[in-house]
Amino acid sequence: MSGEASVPQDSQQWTLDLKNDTREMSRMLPWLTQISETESLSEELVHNINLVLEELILNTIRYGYPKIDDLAAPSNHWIRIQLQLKNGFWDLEITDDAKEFNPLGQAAPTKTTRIEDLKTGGFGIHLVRKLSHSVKYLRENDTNYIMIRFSQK
Amino acid sequence: MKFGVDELSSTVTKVTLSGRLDMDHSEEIDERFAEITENSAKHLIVDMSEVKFIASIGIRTLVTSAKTLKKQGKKMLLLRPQGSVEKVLDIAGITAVIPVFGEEASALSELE
Repeated sequence: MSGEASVPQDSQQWTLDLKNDTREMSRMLPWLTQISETESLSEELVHNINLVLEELILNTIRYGYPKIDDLAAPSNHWIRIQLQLKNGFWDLEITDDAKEFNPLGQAAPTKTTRIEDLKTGGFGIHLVRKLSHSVKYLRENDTNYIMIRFSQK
Repeated sequence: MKFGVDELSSTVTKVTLSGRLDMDHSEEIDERFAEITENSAKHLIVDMSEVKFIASIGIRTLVTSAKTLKKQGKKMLLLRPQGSVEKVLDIAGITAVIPVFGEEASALSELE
């Protein structure tokens, strides 16, 4: 019995496609909530995936594409988010056709105890690293791939 | 997202936030904080106890406001951040810079 329990089954692959507009980001939490209810994810895991998505998708939309104002306007751009339990880990993969951007190239914020010395930005990628098991970035065929792995909790 | 303002004394304002400090609410929260920190010249206690989620965009708002207050010789204190919100503030290094209190009374005595 214990042998069976130690080999978790892979889940189905969950997919969400977004346009490159920050207003599309409000679709991420309902998507994640639906997965959480079906797959019985822990509150902590849902929080961490939610935060990682907020940080990385905002970065991609803000800095990876020219701005668009009309959500109904046809967009040739795409951002695909996929989540799957595989080999005992929850693997989140973000693929997009934004300009090349390796989020792992950003340095962590400098530690300080003085408000004057604290920078107002640069927290996002630091949080992504700290709240996940591992993060990888790949650029191939004019596509960005970010793979974020979470421990199953 | 709710944003409540209480004038606790002639020198201290309390802002009570609830809900999510994320992309969807950042513009509104930024504006409300800017109104308070740029005009009041008072210390600010930010009650975080009802905040369920904070992303870096919300952290940026807190840091910007704390910097504005510092220039006026005023302080920002955080009150009762919960669970994952406190963890995120810790990881980002915010709790090392903006003091966190468990009780309003102790936060107030810090400002007296």
